Amino acid sequence: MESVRKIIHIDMDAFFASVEQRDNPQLKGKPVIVGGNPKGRGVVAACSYEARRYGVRSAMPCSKAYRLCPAAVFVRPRLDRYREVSLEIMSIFQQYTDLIEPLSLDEAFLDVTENKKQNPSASRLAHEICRRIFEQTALTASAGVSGNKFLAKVSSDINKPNGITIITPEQAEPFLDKLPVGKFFGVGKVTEQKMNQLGIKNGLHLRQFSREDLAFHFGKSGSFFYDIVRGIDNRPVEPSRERKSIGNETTFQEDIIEMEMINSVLESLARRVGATLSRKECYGLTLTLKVRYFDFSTITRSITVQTPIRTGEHIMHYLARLLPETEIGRKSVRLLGLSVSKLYMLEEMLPYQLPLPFPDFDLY
Amino acid sequence: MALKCAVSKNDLMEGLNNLQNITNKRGTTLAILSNVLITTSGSALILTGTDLEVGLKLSVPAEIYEEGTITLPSKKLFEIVRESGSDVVNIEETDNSWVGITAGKSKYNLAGMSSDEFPEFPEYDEEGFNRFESFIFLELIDKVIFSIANEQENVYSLTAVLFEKEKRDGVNYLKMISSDGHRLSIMEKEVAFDIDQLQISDITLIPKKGIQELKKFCEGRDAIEISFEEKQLIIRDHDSVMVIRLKKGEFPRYQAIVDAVALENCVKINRIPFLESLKRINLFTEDIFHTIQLQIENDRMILSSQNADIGDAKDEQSISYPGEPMVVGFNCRYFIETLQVMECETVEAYINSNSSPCLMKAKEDQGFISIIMPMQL
Repeated sequence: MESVRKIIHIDMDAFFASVEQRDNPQLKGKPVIVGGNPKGRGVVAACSYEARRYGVRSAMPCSKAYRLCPAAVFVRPRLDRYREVSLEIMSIFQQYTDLIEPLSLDEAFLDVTENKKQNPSASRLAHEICRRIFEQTALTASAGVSGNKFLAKVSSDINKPNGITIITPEQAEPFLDKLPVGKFFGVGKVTEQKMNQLGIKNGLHLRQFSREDLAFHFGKSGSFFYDIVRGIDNRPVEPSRERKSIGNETTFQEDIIEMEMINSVLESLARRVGATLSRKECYGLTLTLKVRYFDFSTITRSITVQTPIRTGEHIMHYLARLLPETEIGRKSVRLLGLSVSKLYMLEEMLPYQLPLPFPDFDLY
Repeated sequence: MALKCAVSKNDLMEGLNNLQNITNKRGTTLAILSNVLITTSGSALILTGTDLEVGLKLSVPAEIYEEGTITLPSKKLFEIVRESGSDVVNIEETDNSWVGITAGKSKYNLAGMSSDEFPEFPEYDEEGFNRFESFIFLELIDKVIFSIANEQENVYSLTAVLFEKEKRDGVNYLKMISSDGHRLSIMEKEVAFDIDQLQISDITLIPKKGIQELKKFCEGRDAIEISFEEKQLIIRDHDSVMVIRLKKGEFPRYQAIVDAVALENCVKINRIPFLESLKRINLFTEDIFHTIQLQIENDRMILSSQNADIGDAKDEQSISYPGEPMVVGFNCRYFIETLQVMECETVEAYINSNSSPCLMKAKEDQGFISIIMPMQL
């Protein structure tokens, strides 16, 4: 067994909305929704705790949020501003450790097993970091402290907002016993449903299954579930975590069903993703198509191939194999997304056969 | 009417042999496509095979006792005829699409299928054929066939040969171009024939399978008649007819690449010794890319390769090269395949950098250009 690690997960409280409330004091104490037009089709990117009281949640359609809370102030997201604040917060982390793994603008893992303050108490460090964030930015954060990433992350959620939760190794099992499976890392809606069908509702149920059984039902993830429900998660905090996928998606003004429209949207998405791939000088081996139908049911279909996917043409080529696996053309669609994953850098594929530079033909 | 005939073993074997590639296509979904259609016409048997891309109809002299039509498994029939110990093979339809075959003392009962299910041979216009000497097409094909992309290799329409005609300074040329995306082969032949009479569309793509069959058709014939229709190419010689379905699609503007290669930095090298050296070095390349390194200096070229499992190899060739020394990586196979179809003594290779196209040609190989992209080492 590895030596005990000390991991902190810091999660800013209602980050985008809090930044808006801080920058614009008139919004303080009011339900604030950061997202699209309340009458339009965008989704809620973030909402203040005042808005949450009305049942508003992230990723909910703005129109629904508006119905739930007509008094809410709708604010357009200002990503540049959030990025700026995020950098400020990350620089606070850097005073404690270099092992920082940002998950998004408002979330990060810190490995403080060894830290620049020579402080052996991770919980004290967590308190100090949250206090520093508040002093410097007037924003509150919640923190989870534990021996691995999974436990740290679930615990930061427990005393949210503005709270710190520590899970010691002894507390891990009783805590996980009660934890609903949906909260386990890697358990999405589909897996959760499947687990429920198997009678797995919480960690206690999950622990009854052998590694082989879980692998049988959930493939590679099964083995991972077997470990994390025992509080075992050896994933390191990876500071320079590479981008795992490159993608683009678009929500339509109105649901569309015409193939012609859909094709032209997919083509432009493919072109954009292809352009990003070439800008980043990388290629991928997996293409994923995401479709959200008019009724919000969302599916993804993927294909993994041997030849590098590098351009919009490549994406369109493989996309033709994914489309028949969807109900596109028969069911109205409100969102389409494309992403390429299993990314590699071009220079990793040396020796590499160069393509002929046909002016009108992007071959590889 | 039940087919009954006698036919020379050698004639029938040759006819069936020519149909084997077409009728033995792997993964075919229609069972009847593995059969050869046999009909009678005057004092001949007409053998027809098709894979729906290429259709071939051949005539074999025969003594016809009773006219009829039937389809028989092409491969099995070919094997029977090939192994038969007699000069004459007798075929007689018995009942329910069965035939009795006798060759000397050997007797076979072979199950066939009714000819009703056999696809119709494509219709074509009897007019509009032009006569060519076969060697023109043979030479065009030989110089480009090796660089056609394989089906699984490519997602674009490079799995076909581009066929073009061109009139320059009053001279008529026929051209074939192929590319697998990494290399490009161009061959043109001067023809003493007014190409204005040849009706072809701007982009005429002959699929790889069609090219292979066209090559076979030309071999052993002095002249062929050719007619291009919108969707198909018809080749004829007396009673033999081949119809090749043309491929739809685009072909890249290959001339742009030819024009982009500066004809300056020229390596001159003896073709045969170079080819032999490449074959030696290729013994130590890795399987997929066959990567070799060419270290080019003023009077010599050092070829080298390495294979993680086997070891490494090095060879040296004298060259004439006035430019700056350089190191370039290539797929060894690409060079070998190009040099193999050339006929010259000294080949000129224009290599401008380790990432720009390398163009090869020679005075004796008139009309031929090969372009190969390097590998990034």
